[in-house]
Amino acid sequence: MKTILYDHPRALALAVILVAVAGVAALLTMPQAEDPKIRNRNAVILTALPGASAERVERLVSQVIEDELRGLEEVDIVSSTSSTGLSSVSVTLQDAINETDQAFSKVRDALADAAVLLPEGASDPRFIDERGYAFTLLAAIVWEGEEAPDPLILKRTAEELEARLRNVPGTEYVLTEGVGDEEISVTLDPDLAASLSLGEAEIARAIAQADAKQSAGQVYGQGNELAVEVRGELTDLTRLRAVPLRRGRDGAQLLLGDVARISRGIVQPEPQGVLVNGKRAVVVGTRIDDGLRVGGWSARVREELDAFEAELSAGLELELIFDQSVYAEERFGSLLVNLFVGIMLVVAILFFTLGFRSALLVTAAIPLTSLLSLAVMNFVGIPIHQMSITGLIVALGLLVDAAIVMCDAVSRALTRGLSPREAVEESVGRLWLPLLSSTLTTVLAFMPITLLIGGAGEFVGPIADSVIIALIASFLLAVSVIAALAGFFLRPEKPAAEGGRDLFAPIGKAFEGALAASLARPRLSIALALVLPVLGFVGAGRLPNQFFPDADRAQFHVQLELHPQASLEETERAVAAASAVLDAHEEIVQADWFTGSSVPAFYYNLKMNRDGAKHFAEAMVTARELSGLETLVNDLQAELTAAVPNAQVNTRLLVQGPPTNAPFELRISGPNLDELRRLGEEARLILSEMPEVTVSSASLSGGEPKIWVEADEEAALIAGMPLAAVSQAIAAKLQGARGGSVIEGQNEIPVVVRLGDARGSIEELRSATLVAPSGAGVPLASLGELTLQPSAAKITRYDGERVNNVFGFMEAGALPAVAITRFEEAMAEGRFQLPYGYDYAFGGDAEARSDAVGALLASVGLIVTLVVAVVVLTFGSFRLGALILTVAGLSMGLGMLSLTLAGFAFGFQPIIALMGLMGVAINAAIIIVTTLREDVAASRGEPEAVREGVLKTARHITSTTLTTFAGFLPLILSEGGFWPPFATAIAGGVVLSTVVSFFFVPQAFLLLARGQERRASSRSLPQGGLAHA
Amino acid sequence: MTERNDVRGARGRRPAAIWWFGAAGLLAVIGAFALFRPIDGAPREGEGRALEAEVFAARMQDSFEERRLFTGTLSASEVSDVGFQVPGEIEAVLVQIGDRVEKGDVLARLDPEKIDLRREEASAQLAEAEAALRRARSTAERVLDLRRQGFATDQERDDAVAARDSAAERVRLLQRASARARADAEDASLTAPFAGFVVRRYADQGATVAAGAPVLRLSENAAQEAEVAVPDTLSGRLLPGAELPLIHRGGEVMAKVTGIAQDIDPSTRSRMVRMELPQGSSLTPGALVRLELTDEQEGRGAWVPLSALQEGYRGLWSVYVVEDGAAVRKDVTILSLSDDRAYVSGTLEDGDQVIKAATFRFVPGQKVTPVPSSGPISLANAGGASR
Repeated sequence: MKTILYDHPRALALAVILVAVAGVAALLTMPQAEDPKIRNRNAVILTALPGASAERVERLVSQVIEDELRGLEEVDIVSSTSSTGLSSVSVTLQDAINETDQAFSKVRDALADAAVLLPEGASDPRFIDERGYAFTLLAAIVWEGEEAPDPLILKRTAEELEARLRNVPGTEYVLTEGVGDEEISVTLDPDLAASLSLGEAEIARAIAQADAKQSAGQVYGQGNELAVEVRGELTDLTRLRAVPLRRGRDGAQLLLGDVARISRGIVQPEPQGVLVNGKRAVVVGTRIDDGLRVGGWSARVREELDAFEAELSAGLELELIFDQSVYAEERFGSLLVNLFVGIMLVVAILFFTLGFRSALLVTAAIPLTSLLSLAVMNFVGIPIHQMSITGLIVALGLLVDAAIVMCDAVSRALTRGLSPREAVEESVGRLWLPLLSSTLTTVLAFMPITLLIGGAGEFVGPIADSVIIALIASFLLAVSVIAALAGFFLRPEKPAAEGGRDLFAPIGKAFEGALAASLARPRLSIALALVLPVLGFVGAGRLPNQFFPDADRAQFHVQLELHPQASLEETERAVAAASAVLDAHEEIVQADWFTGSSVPAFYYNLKMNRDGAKHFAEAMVTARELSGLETLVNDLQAELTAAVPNAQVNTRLLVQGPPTNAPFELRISGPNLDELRRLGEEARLILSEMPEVTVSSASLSGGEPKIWVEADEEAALIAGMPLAAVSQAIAAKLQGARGGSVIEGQNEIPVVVRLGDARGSIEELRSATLVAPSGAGVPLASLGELTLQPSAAKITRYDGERVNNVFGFMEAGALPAVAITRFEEAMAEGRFQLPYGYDYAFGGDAEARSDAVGALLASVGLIVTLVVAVVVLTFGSFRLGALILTVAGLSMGLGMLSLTLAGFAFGFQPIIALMGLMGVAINAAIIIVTTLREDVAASRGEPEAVREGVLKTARHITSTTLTTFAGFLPLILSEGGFWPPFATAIAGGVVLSTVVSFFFVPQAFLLLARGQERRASSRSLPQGGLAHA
Repeated sequence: MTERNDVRGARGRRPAAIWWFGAAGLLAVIGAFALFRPIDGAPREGEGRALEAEVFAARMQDSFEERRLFTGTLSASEVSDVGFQVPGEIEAVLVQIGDRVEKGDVLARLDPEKIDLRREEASAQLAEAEAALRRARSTAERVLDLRRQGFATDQERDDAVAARDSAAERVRLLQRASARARADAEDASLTAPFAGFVVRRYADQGATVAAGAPVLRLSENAAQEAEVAVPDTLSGRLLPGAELPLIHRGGEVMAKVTGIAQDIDPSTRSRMVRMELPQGSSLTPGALVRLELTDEQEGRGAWVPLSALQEGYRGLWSVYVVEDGAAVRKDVTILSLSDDRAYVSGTLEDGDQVIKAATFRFVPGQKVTPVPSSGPISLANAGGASR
């Protein structure tokens, strides 16, 4: 059994070939992406209630929908934002829900129930759940012509492109951004209309009447059935101009074209605009389906784009402004280079420590294990992305260990003069249990991450999944294929060969001396060995928390926010000023501005939630390189704030992890809006005093000015207009009335009738003449006064309570946890006190972190029990089990110490690194303890024997330590916020844990053995101590 | 951390104390480094950053102008339908709609033939009556002579005198008729009663019109009038004789209030105000005009752009001003609104550095770097600046 592959070389060859073929096949076909796909558990429900104030929207719409949705067990959090005329309810599903589609369809059902309860005039709730994923590719159609850009042409071109991209296989979703809807506007001079007693509604009706689009039945003939339709549907503007409005005397007709200006175009004022490198553009975003390779799909899309560009009209340009595959390839490329360099270093070291043949074998083990892992990952359905590759790299540090240990054991056995077969049999027999045990404990250490649910779980889970797969693969290969190969390839070591290693002899002597000294005084040695881990734990307390690191992309985004009533033109002026600042920086390659909406999500956790916000603009900025990005972003923040003083500027780096609104988020909940606002201001004042905080905002800031028509009800009634009619007439005046539609190509364009200048200013509105249902014109001014009053701009709710969300944005490089610490200090000073009935909670980054950590800790109890069980069963001794677990704990302290020494923040990559580190340390400890237990003298507590035992294991422990360190060295030195902390924690920890391995474990074993010995002799039991029975 | 092994057989012993000291020293160095190393991203010392804000100086004034617009229509002060005073068939209409006519210009003619016939008929009848009169006179003279001589009875004398008088009356009657027939011939051409424009044509050549039926509508081009409906709440401020600007497509004219209706139209809650435009204005009757009422109102305050306003507490408004480098909230009330600015009064003082826009960025007490406003803001007392 132990030598089955050694005895059957063909089976061995087949096994190797099988693993290689399966692995290579998997590598070529596996889905590839830059980041793992976090399942979208968020949906937004938009309901319009035109003209209603935020308070009314809250009470009549948001609350109704919330109540309905909060009853669903699948729903975790319901929050809402009610603003003037619009309710936006956001639903977050429970983390445990994986079948989100099913859950969302339940939400939809509940929404249908709620729709019945909504007030008259409310639109049907619109359910949006496709916003959760980032676009894979953004293409812009840019207006290059000299003339003023025509948004209509851009829009139609973009729609054509959208249709074509939708047909590319593997495309999941396509969206056009940057241009409003089309409409045909019929504009009347308001005074003229009033003098003709023509209301918008009447004109709209006349147009709709003239639009004969419906079928007029069929003629049933003998042989044929023919459909009948009345000609005269609205086909173009000329036809529209000829729509009769009224018959005059003498048969004269008043035609629409006589009194109105008819034009086709984009809804005015335009709701949004896009500037690509300073030129007007429309952007088409497209997203790849699940389970595909970004590279291949992207190439197909590019082909389609090239074909489209060839057909494009002169004066228009097609520009690819974002392509995720570039980043994905760049990421994988640099990762693979680092990996390759790492492996080369490992091989080089192994040549020195193990000799040529062993090194070759271990080197062969690396690709073999990787390929087997990939094959299994493909089978299980884990795609290749940043996280699963991270997992493989972690495992790499561990998986060479098993191979090294096995090779070392076989080589020693051969040197002792055993035959290759005996050597393999002995080594496998001796090592399979400790190796299995250390593999199992490491697997168990990673289990909490695998079991992590929700967004954080989907994000970091694949790391643990691939680690576990790789570890098991590594163990299986080590005890079968590698052991067998070792039997074939390794030769007994010749003593002469050691002459070459005389170089290391002085170091070896020194080490031996130190070991002897420490074994002479084991308690002192243990105490000193404990100092480092303790320092680590103490030092970790000083480490700032940054659970999710910055994204390693040379991209960032800039947000501009003006006062809420700012028009698009005003916002575009601010954009022009900001754009000039960006242009002046040479480090910036590209800056694309989206005015009136968010940038289409170009990173997986960006939120697209600013639709229709004309006072908002956002830029996607691409820098030349990653290094210096923090400084650039911080400089830009200052420069832009100075250049655009009438807007809130927010320059933000991309950050990993589940989406959050802001790094610092404080939710103050309570009943009274005024009080919530006051508390929000207090909180923001505290934030404004922190040097790291760039800007802050509150969801309940002051209300926006709103014009109220104080209509005298009696006067209105006498004029034949109930107040509702007044409101409708004003709405018709400002928004226009719809009548009919024109079909052009594949587009149906609505016709909107509105009266000239009423939208221009307060005075125009004041002097507007409303048309009463009777047809008489009633000056609005005669009905009442216009006053300006604040109306809450938005009301935000969270879990059924009114909240004020205070957001704090940090400068690049500063950590959100710092703001929270400072805020808590301010609270301790009594600067932020909540009255009775009010409460607060931190959201944002802190919440994401505590959610993730909470979920991580949920399964820890069970896992620790299992680890204990495995270790105790392996050694059949609680004491030794406790010793191994202590080593695990100490190694975490050492990992933290290396983090502290390097000065990295504490986040999720270090946590994963610490778990991997634990595995390595346990591995080493298990090997040492196993070796010592085999030695009867050592088990009796004789220092000399213990020293000999330790020296026996020292070679491969040093080898694994050095290889791990070397393997991670390129990553330690790499750029970005993701890899260095991770690699430092694991590699630094592994190096430091040799202290524990050599100066804590043997000494502790010695003490335990002596204790055992004493007890045994006092009870005069047969001697044996900690040795195998 | 320099353990390096693979040493077998070498048993060199060194004084253990060296190892212990070495280890302790190494640990001390690492410990000191770990515990006192500056850490990236750790809280750093320093003040909060001051945000730049565009500010302008508030200019307090004692009164403000409020501007309101009301729509009305222009009418010619004299519009009349003209027609022939005689019936007849129209021979020709000499003017077209839109033609300008002077007083006395011939506008249309009736067919002259029938009128001539009527005149000849009248003169013939007159001649006949004159002949009859002559005979009656001579008859009467003879009868009078005979009576004097006693040859005739009184009865005969009376009859003859009556016949003579009757004939004379008839002549007078027919003279009138003849004169009228002559006048009718003149009436066959329709002349303009005043200078103006032809605005409508009711009948064309060949039509038979009754006497007095309108043929053309003339509009006087001299003084024009505007009728503007003004809500009764505001019409009280208007006094007859006041000169007020009327805005029309082409510009603005000053017009004089000539009368204000004393009743309120129930369907519009407004009163009709008649205003006279100056002579020679080139406006077309029927055009739409707007009455601009500027109302100077007492009240100390300052104009601020709407973007500077931020909601205060309990429905109040506030503005943020920069004082000593920090944002300070000042509560205000809005007295008037115009275009995109508001006239506010309250705790605002002259010269206050008011933050112009994006006030939501600030909370009271926050540090601010004021940047003088570069944009064109006409916040001084400029009533109709934006029209």
